[in-house]
Amino acid sequence: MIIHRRSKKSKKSARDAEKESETKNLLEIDDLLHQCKMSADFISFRYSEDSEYYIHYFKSIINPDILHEFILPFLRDAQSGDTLFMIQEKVSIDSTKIVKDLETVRDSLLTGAVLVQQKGNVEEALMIPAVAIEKRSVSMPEVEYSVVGPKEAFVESLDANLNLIRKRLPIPELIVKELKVGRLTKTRVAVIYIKEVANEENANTMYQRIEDIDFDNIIDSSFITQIITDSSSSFFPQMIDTERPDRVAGVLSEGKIAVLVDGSPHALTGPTPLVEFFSAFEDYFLSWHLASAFRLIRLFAVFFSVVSTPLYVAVMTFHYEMIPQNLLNPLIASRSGVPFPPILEAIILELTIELLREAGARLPTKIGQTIGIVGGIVIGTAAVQAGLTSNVLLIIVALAALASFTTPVYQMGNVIRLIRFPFLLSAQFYGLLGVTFTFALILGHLLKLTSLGRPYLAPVYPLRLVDLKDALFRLPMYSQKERPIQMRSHVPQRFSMKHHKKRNLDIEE
Amino acid sequence: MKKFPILILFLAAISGCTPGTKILEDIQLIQAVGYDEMNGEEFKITAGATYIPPGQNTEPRNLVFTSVGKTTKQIRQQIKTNSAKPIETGRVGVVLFQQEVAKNGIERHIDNYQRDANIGRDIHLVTTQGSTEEILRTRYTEGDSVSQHIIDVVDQNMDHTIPDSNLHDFLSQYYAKGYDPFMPYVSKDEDQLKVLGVALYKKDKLVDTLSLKESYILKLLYEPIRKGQFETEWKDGRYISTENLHSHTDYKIKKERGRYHVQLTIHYNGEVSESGGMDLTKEKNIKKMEREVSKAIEKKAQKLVEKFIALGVDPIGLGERARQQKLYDKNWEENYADLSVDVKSKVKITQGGIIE
Amino acid sequence: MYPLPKEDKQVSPYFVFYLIHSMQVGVGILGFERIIAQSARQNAWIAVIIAGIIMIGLVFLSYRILNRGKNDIVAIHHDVFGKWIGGMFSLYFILYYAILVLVILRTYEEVIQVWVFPDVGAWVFLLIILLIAYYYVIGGFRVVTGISFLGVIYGLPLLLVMYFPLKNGHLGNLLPLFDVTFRELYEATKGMTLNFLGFEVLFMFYPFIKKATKSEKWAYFAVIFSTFIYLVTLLVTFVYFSQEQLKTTIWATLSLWKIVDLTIIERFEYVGICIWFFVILPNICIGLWCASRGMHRLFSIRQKTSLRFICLLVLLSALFFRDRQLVDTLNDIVSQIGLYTIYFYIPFLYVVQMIMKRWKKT
Repeated sequence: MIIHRRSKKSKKSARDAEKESETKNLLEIDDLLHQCKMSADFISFRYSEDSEYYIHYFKSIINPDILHEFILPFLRDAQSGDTLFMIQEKVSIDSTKIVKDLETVRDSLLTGAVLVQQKGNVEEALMIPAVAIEKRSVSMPEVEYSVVGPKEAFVESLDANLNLIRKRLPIPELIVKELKVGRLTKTRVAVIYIKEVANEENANTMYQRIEDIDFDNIIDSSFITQIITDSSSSFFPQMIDTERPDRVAGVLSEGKIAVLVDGSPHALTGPTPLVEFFSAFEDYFLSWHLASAFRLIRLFAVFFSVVSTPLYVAVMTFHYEMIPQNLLNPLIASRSGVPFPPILEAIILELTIELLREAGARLPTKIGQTIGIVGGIVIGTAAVQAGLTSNVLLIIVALAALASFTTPVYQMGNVIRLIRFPFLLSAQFYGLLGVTFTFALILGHLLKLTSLGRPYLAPVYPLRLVDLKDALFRLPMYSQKERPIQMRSHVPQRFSMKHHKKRNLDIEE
Repeated sequence: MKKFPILILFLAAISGCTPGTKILEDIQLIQAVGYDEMNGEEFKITAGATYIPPGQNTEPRNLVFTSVGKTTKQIRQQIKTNSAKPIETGRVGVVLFQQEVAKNGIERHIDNYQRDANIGRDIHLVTTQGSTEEILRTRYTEGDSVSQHIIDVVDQNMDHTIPDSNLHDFLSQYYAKGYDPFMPYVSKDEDQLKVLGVALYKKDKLVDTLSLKESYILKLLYEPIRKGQFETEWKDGRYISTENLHSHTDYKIKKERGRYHVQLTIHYNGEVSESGGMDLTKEKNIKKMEREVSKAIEKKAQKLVEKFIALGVDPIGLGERARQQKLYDKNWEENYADLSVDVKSKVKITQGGIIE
Repeated sequence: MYPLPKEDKQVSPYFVFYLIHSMQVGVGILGFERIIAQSARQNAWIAVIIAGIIMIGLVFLSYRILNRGKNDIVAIHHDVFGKWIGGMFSLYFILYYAILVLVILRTYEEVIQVWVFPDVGAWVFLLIILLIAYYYVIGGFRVVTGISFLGVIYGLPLLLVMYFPLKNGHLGNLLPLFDVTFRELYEATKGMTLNFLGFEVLFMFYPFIKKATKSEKWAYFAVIFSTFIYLVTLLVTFVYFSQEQLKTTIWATLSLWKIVDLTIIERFEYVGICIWFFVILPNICIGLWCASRGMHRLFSIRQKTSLRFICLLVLLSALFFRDRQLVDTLNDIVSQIGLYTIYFYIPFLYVVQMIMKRWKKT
């Protein structure tokens, strides 16, 4: 597959060309119908021999109840000579329209409308929407599970998802801009933001980038993330992909932009700085002390997860001086039977853990658990007892794996899984210095990254002290009175401090 | 594509030249080194290491390499030929000097440790009575390795009975003008290691040794301490013993008519740990006890400092303290033997414990 | 002729603090104690404060020059001295920045070789570090500012480990106070000034600061903070080492870390050297950026080209300075050049610029 984001200019001219061809084909609705008839699920009939009205639809995507109850009776009763307009008036369904434009006809026909044509009038067609949507009901979030708080997750239907968001933000300022993307899939994509609260520039960037997408199929929101991301060569995700409507409502009110894609149970939100990938939405449901502590623990866990095995390799291979005296003998004892050098040992164990993870993720939940037990306990113990690995490293690797699971955003978890391998290699080559060099390179990469054109490392760099209140830790609700500067909101104030002033009371007042 | 040249160069650098590995279990870590005198010119180095057999719950075994030669380099070379794995000195935790070696000066031995960036600064230097090889060859009942055992014994004593000292302290005193270094002084007794006291050095040469009791007085004079016991005989065969809660020493140095005069004031806060039959409910008796302890401290300290002066060594840094008061000049060294010392002490004793 | 940078390439005024501070605290701090203690002994700390005050004066002068010129040094030189003489002076500055990079790179590389990997060829680490720096500088001034900011943050924990040498030290080493002659202080101050070198990068990045005139106070804070860091390090070193011992210790600050005992790691110096990399990296990046930017401005070539050229130049000359003696000589030469630059050239430029301005008016 070749992805190309065409520049705006060339895109425009292409569109003009398409338009031209459409006007040429204006009178060729019949051709379209002809083409459609090649599909087995396309139905085309007249109510009776003497009826003037032809009815066309795809039976697989329309709701037969609507057809039977609200469309067919009127067509049966229609006098000969009634225009399409008169029928349109009679049919008690919203958004019916009389269309001449071939493209519109095609689109609405293919998205669940019933086409009514009058004999002798090949230019116009009455489109009556009667779409039948197969959708599952709103269910529990599975990827971003939280113990407390709302238990809704997005589903595959765009309208249902919009409903979930608008329900939470019942204000006219919530703007939903819809567009269709994908040459084949014609996927409906909605860009959502709150007017005034969100920076227009961000919204426009997002809209523009989605509009510029030229790709054949957009199956899921992750396609969009990958195509519109600021730096596609980066392995760091630059937009959050969430399945929680509450999270989306939360970030929208911070001034961010969300994107919903029809057929995908995920919303994309941006601009997203790095720290946000380590904040779970559950943090806002807990008291700020706990939430801050958990965030710091998570950050530490990430650091530990990335660096622990490389440090083990570095110290074991080059810097024996650094091992504390009390650990020296146990370490030598655990290592001395192992036939591999530390780097090989570490890579083998890390790969084993990756295998377990991958196998666990591909299998149904119940078998997945078994895999965990088999891998964790049986293989681990056996490997140590057979003298293939040292038990110290086994502990480190297992802890590192555990620590990487604490990342609340799944994509980030994947990055952390992989990022330790370059660290491992550099540790083998230059010990601690190698780890330092790799870290410097990754830091440089992070400094260069942007998310929707906003710096990725914010609020740490560029330093925005005000934004730190909800980044590495989370301060109490009443201290969050400003939206992040990062978002450049037009209404930076979130609420007035009037009701939050603390009164300085004496002991028994 | 922008990063492509960087990656290529980076890989080239990586594949081109990497440091030689020192994988933990593939090297022989030397943890203790001992120097013994052989004859006038040659000396013997004993390197103590531990061999840890593979597997869990295995007993580490004591491993000793010895070799005789004229220079450390030469001896090291020989020791390397005896070992199954490459020798690494980065983990040396204790260096032992037989007192005969120490008498001839240890500068050339110390220099190795001072120069090597691999070696820590908090390693212990110890002077031994008797052969260091024997000390390193012995299997002690406690501890998992000989070097660790020596370190533990010395550390424990540095907490309670002898003044603190490590390589850094030794070097800083060795280089300083108004200081002379010292080391713990140990010996082997059956299969036990015993701290005998402190070995006093003049520059890099051993001059004399102090007993444990003297060492404690040196500790009182040398550094502020919060630990240790001090015993005093107050009547025939009756001893009072006090636990040091906090003590420190003030120095005043004066120069009068070309003659230096040092006044030491020892502040000692103690708690009674053995009353020796004294009735402590009486205020009078406590005062008496304070007087007794004070007298004893003064007497012992006076004697000790005079001993230092007589030996011409300065482990408590009188010269350094003179420098701090702008009194240190060329005359100091010459007039050191003439130094007059006056020790005072201020003792405060509290009565503690759970009985009266 | 010399256009100012676009607004989205500029950084906020307070970043001047990090840029100047990280430039002033570099490899020098790992071993400056020995040099200044040789002349002023235990009272060398007075020299640090004096040097800090002098620096504030020089930063003041620099800001006067820059505020009047409202552009970088290349443009100012062009305005004041004309195309050819001005160009010569600019070239001198470019070379000066490049040599600064060379010295920092070479010294850090030496630390690695002596303390960590004696058996690896010098070129390996030189190449790796230069490549990393290149990667940063390619990202532009904002990225360079970013690493200088993060470098300062990462370096801060190293102040905490000063606790260990303090615990093992003797406060008496600092006595007697104020026992120092004017001559000794002069020597020590001169030695100390060298460590403060580096603020001259201000001349190059000035146009990249938003509301640059407002950034002046941050530059002063930077100098004050650098002075503070040097002062703390110096005092702790003096407390820990005896004066005579210090004279034999080449990297006193590095040796301080040997005593740190964190129970989970021994030999903190290895960790220290690694953390120090993030203090060195901004130095190299800023220096490279300034030199390449200067060339770009002076010769109207692409900055990427000039950056590559300077990297190559630095690498080759770093390889040339193989042994210890040469590095020391290099250090001395740079010190002399730096000394003349800041003490004579900056006031000179200030005066000439003032005269030219008056003359042009009339």
